[in-house]
Amino acid sequence: MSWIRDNALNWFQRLAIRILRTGHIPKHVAFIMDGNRRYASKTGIEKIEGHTKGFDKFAETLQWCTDLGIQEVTFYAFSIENFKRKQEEVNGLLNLAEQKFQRLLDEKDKIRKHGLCVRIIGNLSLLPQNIQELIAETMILTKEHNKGFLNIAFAYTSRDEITRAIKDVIEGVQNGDILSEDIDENLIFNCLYTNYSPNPDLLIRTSGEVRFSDFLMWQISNTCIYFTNVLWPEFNLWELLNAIFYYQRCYSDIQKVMKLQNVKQIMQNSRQSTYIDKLLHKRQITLERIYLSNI
Amino acid sequence: MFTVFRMLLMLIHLSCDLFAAFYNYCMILHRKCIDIWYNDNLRTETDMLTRVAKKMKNLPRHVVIIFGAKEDTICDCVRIIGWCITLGIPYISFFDISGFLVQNENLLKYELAKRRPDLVEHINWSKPNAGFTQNGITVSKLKTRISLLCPLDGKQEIVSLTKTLAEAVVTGTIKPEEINIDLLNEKLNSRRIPDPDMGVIYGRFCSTYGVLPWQTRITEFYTLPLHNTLSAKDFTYLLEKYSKCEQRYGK
Repeated sequence: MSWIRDNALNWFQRLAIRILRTGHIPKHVAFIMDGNRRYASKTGIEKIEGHTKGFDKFAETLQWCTDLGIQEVTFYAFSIENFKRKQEEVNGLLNLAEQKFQRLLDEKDKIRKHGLCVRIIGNLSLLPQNIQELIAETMILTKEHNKGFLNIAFAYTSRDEITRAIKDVIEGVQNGDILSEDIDENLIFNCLYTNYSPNPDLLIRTSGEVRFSDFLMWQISNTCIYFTNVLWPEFNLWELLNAIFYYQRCYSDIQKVMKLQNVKQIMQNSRQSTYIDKLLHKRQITLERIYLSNI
Repeated sequence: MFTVFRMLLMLIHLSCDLFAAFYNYCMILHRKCIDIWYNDNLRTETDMLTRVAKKMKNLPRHVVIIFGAKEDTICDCVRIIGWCITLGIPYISFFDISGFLVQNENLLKYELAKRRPDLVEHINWSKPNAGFTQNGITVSKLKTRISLLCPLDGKQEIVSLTKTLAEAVVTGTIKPEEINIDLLNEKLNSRRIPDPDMGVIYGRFCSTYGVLPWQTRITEFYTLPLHNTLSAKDFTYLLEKYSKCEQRYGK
């Protein structure tokens, strides 16, 4: 199935979207896509088949988010902890990912037309070389796109992300780029994989689990959370609209909490901003190196 | 057309608000009736909690209560502490976004001593970052450790740890490659308190409000409605939900 889907909504769904769009729409929505395997055993299909269904749902959701005017979405596709699963399933998942990333590259004209910027967040070094190359190519190819932002957390956990950010900060101090006193919340935030993105406004987790499983722990301190009981392959437009409706109902309270938490753009000193630029440049070079190793 | 849709959306929101208000009002009324009927008192509450505790096979070891909106939380804290001690939950943490509890620690201690003097001997107030030391005194019953948290205990703790580690790397006491998840986890857990198993959100909307980002990655979060006073029944209901949940740890 394609990454970019054609619009297949009926008039009633389109009407509901238009009505909801007149209110506050979250700028950034994050999804924990849980329940593919339970769906597979419920409907009596193979596990990997369940994951394929999960991917189809992801593509569909991406389209709904575009229709709703949500600029940025983040999906939790594969956690570092998932490597602990049976070898057979891990291989199946990695094969599926490889196929899908290849498909994305085949559809690059469509992606360009939609202006979709695709970023994969996670510890790429844990992945097989061929997937790393596909990911690097995707990210380099869509880097300049700015109509929509799609982040896919792959080989990701928040602890791994925070640890890497801390290590990068410490390296900066060690090399004399920044001083110990420059270390603050904002600097660590800027060293996370998600440094390009605003924090999510809404997080949706399916399948009735009520935990975050190490997903974006740093970024969700004032995010509105929506837990739903449906399994991911059964997720539908009405669930999404319901989540956004819940966000709208909470909107004024969220603003109050953000005020209390004193969330504002903190001014960076020149050492901090120079170091962040240097770090991002370094990461870009690494990505290009992976990409070029393929050619 | 936009105006029509906007009006429609506002109408839907309004009717939802009205319905929610009506529902809450009914719930409060329902509770009042039940209270009068059963003449709810401390004795029956304790009985019920002990009964529930016996039935459940999986009680959380560490419960974190997250106050996201209300200020006057002292009374709720005292009652929750009472329930947790009855249930034998060894660690409780209270977090609020404005730092009210941390500032009013003495008031909480005073209220607790006044309302539930029987509990005081079962409590160990934990000081942030003060390493837990076992003193030689043998206590017959294990004490429940209570921590009060504010937003500074979350990300700020990670920031200060980064500073300490950066200095250690510069002076050469630690090598950069020695810094990994396990090391950070050990350093961030200087209080020797296990990560929270269960989080209870007491706020106007469902959010973590920034509670301990490092330590709550697999915490099960539940929400409680803000409009009525928390009862032991609500609390046991959440515990029952918790005891049924199953952690997969990525598998």
